[in-house]
Amino acid sequence: MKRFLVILLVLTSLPLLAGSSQAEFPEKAITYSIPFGPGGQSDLEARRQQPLLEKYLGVDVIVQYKPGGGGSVGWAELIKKKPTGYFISGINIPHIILQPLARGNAGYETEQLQPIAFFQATPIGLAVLKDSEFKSLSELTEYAKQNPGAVTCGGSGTWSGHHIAHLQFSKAAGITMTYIPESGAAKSIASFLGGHVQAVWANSNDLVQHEDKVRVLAFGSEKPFANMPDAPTFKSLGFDILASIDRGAGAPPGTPADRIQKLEEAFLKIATDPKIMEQMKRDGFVPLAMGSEESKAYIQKMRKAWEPVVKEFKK
Amino acid sequence: MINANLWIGIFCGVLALFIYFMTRDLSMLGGIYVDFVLAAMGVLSIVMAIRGWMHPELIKIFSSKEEKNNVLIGVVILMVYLSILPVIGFLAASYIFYFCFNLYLADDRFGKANIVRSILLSGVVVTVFYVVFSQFLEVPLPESMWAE
Amino acid sequence: MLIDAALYGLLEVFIPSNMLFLFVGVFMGIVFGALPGLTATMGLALLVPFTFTMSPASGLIMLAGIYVGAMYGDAIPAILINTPGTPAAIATTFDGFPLSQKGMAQHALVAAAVASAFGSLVANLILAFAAPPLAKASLAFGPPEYFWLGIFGLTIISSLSAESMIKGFLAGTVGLLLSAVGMAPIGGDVRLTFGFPELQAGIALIVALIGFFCLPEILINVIGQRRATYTDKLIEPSLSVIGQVIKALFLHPILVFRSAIIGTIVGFAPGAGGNIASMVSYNEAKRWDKHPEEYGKGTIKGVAASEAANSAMAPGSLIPLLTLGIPGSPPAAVILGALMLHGMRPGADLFSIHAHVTFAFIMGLLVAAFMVSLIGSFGSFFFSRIINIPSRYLAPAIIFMTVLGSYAIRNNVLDIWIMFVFGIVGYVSSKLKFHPAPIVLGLILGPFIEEGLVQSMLAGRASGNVFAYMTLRPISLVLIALCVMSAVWPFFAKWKAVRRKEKEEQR
Repeated sequence: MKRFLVILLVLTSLPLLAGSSQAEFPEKAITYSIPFGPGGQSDLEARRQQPLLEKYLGVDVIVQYKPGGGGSVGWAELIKKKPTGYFISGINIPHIILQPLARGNAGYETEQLQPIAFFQATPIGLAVLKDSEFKSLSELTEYAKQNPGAVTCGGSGTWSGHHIAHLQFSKAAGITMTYIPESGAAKSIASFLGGHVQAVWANSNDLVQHEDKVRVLAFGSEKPFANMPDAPTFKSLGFDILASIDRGAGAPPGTPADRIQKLEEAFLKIATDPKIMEQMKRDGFVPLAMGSEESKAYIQKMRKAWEPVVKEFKK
Repeated sequence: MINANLWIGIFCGVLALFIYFMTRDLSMLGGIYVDFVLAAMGVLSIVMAIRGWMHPELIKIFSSKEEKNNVLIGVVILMVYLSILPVIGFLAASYIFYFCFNLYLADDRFGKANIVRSILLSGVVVTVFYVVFSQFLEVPLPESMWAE
Repeated sequence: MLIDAALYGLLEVFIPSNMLFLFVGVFMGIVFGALPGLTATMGLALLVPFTFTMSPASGLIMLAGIYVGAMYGDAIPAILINTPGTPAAIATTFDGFPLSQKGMAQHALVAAAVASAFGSLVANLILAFAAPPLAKASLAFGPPEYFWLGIFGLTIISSLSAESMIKGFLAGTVGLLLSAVGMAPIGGDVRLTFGFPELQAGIALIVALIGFFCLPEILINVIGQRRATYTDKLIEPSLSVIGQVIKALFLHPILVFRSAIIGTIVGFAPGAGGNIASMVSYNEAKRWDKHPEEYGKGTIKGVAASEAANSAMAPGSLIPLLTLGIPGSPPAAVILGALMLHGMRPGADLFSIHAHVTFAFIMGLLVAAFMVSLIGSFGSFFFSRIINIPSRYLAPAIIFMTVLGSYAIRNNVLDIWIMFVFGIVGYVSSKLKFHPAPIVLGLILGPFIEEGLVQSMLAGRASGNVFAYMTLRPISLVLIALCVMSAVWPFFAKWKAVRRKEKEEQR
């Protein structure tokens, strides 16, 4: 509706604008593709940004969905788009790193995605129910050592952030646990709350939402997680594990640097907006404001950490 | 006339075999379900084929030559529509498709009145749906491959 | 306290501006539901940014309208052109389309609207007053339960394909196989993509539905046999039909009530969704009816059973959402997002601190149900006339819309081709009397069965005994009993029919 009015307005004012100096990027609507279905966290984040992006960039931003394959379908499309800056897509770490590693044919390569900015981190935590017999991570590892494979851990997806954290931790602690993947975080939380698994790998926002029912044994963040400062991190317990889902936006390969910069500015401006940061913190996210270059370095670093794990466990 | 049950049985059996050989590279967890389904499909298709062989049920796919031609031409028009869609874009392809199909389904195919009516209708119907979808419902539609 | 909050919620809904939002929501919902390829989820997601600027209550009331509207809207194309607007309305086509063929499209449309409203009403009352205990029950659904639920769903095939059960089950396995295309939910393998990266996403249900249900109809009747109109008889809507249908439905209170309960129960099992609800409910309606032979040939009872269940599913899926924060369906996930963005965390808070807003939402759902019955009943005059349009104008428009819809569901050109191929397969198979409904059923149930099976095996192995883990659980046992009953039923029904005949002959 709003877009229609805008179009009418533009059409009627077109004669006035004609002849004015050559317009700068962006001069027409930008498509912001979400490689997941509507209603997911990536969608909600995009919906939160949409009006602000429109404000800062001065053009319409159209959110479209390209779900499937845990994001890979959307990214396979992204790399085939013309590198004009008018088509961008949400990108998620670790998905964009793990999928090309784990599947021979994900449809894209990690390096082909040009990061614009990363704006949200979601530390992954390992949690048990409040009435569980495991009071701490060491109790869990102790039990798992004596009963190899008997502890069931839920999580969302195979070769996902949750799965890789599970593998990294099992290896570091020298234990075997059974990983039971669900298709989607909501289902995995439901299965966990229903007691169908003994522990769960979950995103911080889901853990915050069910705060009163869960005990987080450890978070995969660098610093203690602000909403639950008492929960330890894997680092503080002596495991070198960083596990987090980071959300950002990316452009097709070969997008001109000045256009990336324009988009980066807009995204970072939103990411550092105190009101948005406040909302994110309240909901259990960690606000992030990582620019294009910094993101590239970060992706490289995480890739180095995960590559051997995938190679080892993928037969 | 063909023996429907026999052919369905054979077709599904061959399909199951084909998929079986396609999926031998799956991991244990990813393959369990496929194997169960293929086993069920194999058994059922054999039963089906045997049944069709014992009690043939003969069915004619097209009741007349005219029907066959109608369907084949219809399918070809559709295929052309789908093929040009990504090339010239959704809007243009749909105008052409609606116009052609309308002509094809009419009795007085190339009458002047009919052509004019089809052009008008295709313009109105396609435009209305296009505007509703792309503007009000914000559904992005395929554009021509030359559009930026 | 609960009553107070409920009344307050009702007052909130009746504020004129909120009534307007609700009406706009219902209307948009009907549009989103009725256009195949557009879903309630998309409609909700589209509106979420708008609700930022509204008060939480107004925003949620509008979302309630969309959700309820869409649950009815999907029946319109199901009845008129044999194409369910969303997968939840598959069972509506079984009787809805035959009714249209008989020139009774208006009957079907009114039945759908009234049954939708009734299903919604029952489920909403359950949501408002019994949500917390039911939410606990919903958590008892684990991997084995999903597996058995899926198997139970498959037994519906036996009653769908009366003439040849083997044919039906063979079609079912084809559907199960189709569901394996794409990423394995467990194991992460990329299966059967034949080199198309897009197929990693699997086959979209609605694309298969359009292909199997809509295109063959056009190929057979309009293109093949050149039928001038979609129906044998022109439809002449009249006011008296509304009264007749409502009266007829009131004569079958158990049918509608049972359907509503089935819808609510299937809705609150997280992830099960309305697709199964309408099928199960249709099947039970047929099973317990004195005249099962009327089903599939055009009876408003079939339409009512399907629609009451899929509309009841919507509030049902909100039970785990509002009480536990677990969305039971994709639209519920969007509503969860909207709640979070307004700073309301689902869980106990919603029924205490935010009770007023929560009940405004629930009452919004309830009032929306009444709006649906009104819009649906009187809209039937307009909608049912659509199929009076000569086929030569209507058919190209429908094809064009199916192409649009197949594309819109995932913005994927390959999906249009998949739809087309399924259309051809559907054409040939319906000529060979190979009904596509079991294929679609297999496609729906495949993921439940696969995930349930593999997860149960993993968890069972961890616990030491796979077989015991999969069977010795209360809900599993009930579901197994239902499967057995459902499998044996057709033979029982045959035996009963034979006996009745014998008795009549003796007389």
